[in-house]
Amino acid sequence: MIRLCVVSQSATPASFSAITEPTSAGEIESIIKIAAADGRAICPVGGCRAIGRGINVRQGTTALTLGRLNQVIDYPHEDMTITAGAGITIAELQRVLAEKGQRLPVDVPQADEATLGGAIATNQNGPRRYGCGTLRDYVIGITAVDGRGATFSGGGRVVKNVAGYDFCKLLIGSRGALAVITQVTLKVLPQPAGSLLLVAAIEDHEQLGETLRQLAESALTPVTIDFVSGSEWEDVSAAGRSRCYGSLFLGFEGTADEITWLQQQACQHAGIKAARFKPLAPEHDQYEMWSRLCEFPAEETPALTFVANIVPSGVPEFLTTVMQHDPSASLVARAGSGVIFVRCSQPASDAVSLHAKTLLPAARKQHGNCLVYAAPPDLKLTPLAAYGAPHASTNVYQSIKQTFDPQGILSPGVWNYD
Amino acid sequence: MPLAQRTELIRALRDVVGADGVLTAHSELLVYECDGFTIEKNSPDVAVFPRTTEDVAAIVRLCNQHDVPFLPRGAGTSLAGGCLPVGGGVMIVLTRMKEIEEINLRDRYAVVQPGVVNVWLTQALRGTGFHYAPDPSSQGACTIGGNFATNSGGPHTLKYGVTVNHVLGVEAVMADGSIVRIGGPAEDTPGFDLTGALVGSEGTLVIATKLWVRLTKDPQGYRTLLGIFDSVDDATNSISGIIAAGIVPAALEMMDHDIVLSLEQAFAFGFPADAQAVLLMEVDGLEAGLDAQRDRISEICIANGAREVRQAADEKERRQLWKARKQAFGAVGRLANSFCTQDGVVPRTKLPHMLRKIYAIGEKYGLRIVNVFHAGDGNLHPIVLFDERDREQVKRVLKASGEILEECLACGGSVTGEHGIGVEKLPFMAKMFTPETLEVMERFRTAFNPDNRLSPHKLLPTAGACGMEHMPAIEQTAPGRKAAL
Repeated sequence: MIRLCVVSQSATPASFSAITEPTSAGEIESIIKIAAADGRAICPVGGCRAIGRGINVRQGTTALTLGRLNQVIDYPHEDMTITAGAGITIAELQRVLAEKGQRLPVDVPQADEATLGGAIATNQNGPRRYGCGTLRDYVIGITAVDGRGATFSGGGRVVKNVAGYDFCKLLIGSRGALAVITQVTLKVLPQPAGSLLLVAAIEDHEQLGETLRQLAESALTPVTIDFVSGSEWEDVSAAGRSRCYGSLFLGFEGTADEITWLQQQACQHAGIKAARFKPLAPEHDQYEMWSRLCEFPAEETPALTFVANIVPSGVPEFLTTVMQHDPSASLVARAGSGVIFVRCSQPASDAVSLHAKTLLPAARKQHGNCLVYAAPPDLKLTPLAAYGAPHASTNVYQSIKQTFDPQGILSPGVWNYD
Repeated sequence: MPLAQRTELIRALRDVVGADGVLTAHSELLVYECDGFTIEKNSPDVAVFPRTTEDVAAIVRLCNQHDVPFLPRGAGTSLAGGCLPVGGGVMIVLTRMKEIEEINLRDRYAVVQPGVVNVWLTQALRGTGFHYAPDPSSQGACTIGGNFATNSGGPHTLKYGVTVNHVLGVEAVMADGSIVRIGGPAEDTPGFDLTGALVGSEGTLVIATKLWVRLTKDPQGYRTLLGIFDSVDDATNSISGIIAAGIVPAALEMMDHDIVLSLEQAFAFGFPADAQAVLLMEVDGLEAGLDAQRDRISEICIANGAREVRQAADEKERRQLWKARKQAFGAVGRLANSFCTQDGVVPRTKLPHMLRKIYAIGEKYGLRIVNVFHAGDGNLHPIVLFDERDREQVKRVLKASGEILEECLACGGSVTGEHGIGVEKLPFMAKMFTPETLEVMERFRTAFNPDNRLSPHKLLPTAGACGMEHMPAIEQTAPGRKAAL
């Protein structure tokens, strides 16, 4: 009989009372069945890199680590698919793919520790999302264990498949509240031959808006359109001024000929007249900068960070609202996709108030939402404070939560569906 | 349905949508007795044509009050019986909800009603520099609501993804008649990806009444190639070679000799009539990178034995080639009275084996099988030709089709890449998924559709177990289907 046991109290992340390390999907089934019988809460964890995201699981929850399910199970590289255990780290997965000149083109922060299952459960992505998409575009098969201990799957190992309900999609962003992901099949792509990161100084929100509009209408095909601003980004200000409105990065990938053409177009004002793009300053390596854009939302000790998801045209207005209320806030906007990370400079209590009174209404005005993305471990947030008032279709989400986890033992408290 | 109940229901439906929005005569309902899967047919008791989301909600509430099954239908071009009214009941035909409500180029989305025909959206976008990427071969007739229900693909989904990759949000009527909205114009919605899970649910979870769909920027240029081969093996080896070389074309389609011949006879596109297979290959993107990709593809085809690789000289020739591809199914009508199209998927490197197997199965059962399919995705569409008046032949068709799909599964593939399970492939669900998975799928459906009045007997082999005992089984060609339910 497998027991829920404390294997390492000292290594247990703050919210967890115990940690258990199954070595197989079968053990996970058994653990969940025992937990369901006891009414004991379980939270699947990978590299524990996203534990501080949103609001934490209820105190007393047992962490179920997937780190031992880290094998590559099948990699028919000529079919450009790979199947691996959910506990494989993103860095290891990318290393295996790189041996065959391929990659998963989704950026995941803290890739050395973040796992594939964790990245899916928290829907991680980064600067390349504008051109390369998100995990929903690459997960083609999934196996998981629900809150009753039943193993189920969705999709398969082929790139096109509509048999049955698409549980691959359902588990993306579920934060372990519906099931424990144990195995994943991905569609992968060839690595691009070349890449290029350009930057432009932006003076105000009107210039940003015009530049983004011209980009949307131009022939340029960026994979990254990231705007950064605030104290954490002063060193990259392309104009060398300490208090400019911000900097806009354009990232490209492609063949050598394509990169040459794109650089020419972007830097010679052929498509974009509103801003002057140029290569990064010599002290900035483009790969390091790309990585920095990816890592910004993730921190070892998370500061209170919000994420807004809005229509792309609303990005300049939303940013202006943030800057008016917290001029020292640090920002990264995936401006082509309408995803904005806001790290407030104010004390947490003021920032929580700013979220409720200003950020959330500003995001809703732009047809979106704004949530707590990461919070310090000692900050106690209610679902209302983290996510705002429940939306009209919350009952549908609650019904699905009840379906997959009738005892409410999986990651309790992370969503407002419990 | 008892006469008195039917009369009362029809009266109430007319109150909702008007007299011209309800069809009840048997002759009028004939067109609604099947979709593109013509082997099984059953007429609905009533067909009703709502114009608004509120109409759909009111219709659903009436169906619940009268305890009758109901199901949505778009243009009826689906190919697996997805809109077959298995137990009769009320068919909710969404073709009058056909407005494109909004096109927002700056934020790259459109809002459409479910009855908008796929190609209308791309036509509405012509000249703007954007298009709607999913392009099923039936795009001139199929609706975007139907595409949502079946997660439709098309030739260009190899590079651009299938319908689910282009749906941002949905407004829908639930099985209890309530109206919900999931997602919208912003890309990410908090929580799990429910929009994604609703796409492809074949009308068994909700009825979509409005969709937010992503618009895709037109590529700067194209190179469209026609590879001509003297053997099917050479063509399929070329496909494997292109994918293995790390090239991701926008489209990579194959047509075999019989398809090419029928296209030539029907439309005289100028294909060599003696070709054993042709590949239609397209790369798109920045002009700066296209010639290199074209040359690499040509090299791979020639190295694998292509007789010739031609390039479309201009946009007119390119459109002509795509017109030929998309009319291939129409041309099949010249070859036989009836045909049954399969939709299996295999890993792309298994295509040479799978094509050989398909022809062998055709020989084994004495049936002619022709092939036109999405080769780059490994998504096969073997078309089994027959005469539906010959019952014995129909049985052989079903056996041959089943054997093809079994081989797809043996290769590690799927029984459907874009057509859906419908009723046609119900027996294969238990071969693709474990009993535990099917039970979880059943629970998932029940969360949305607890009484199973919405599209009963579809997608799941256990469908219909709840309160549907009074429904007649469809047994025209699948004796025992009810036992399997």
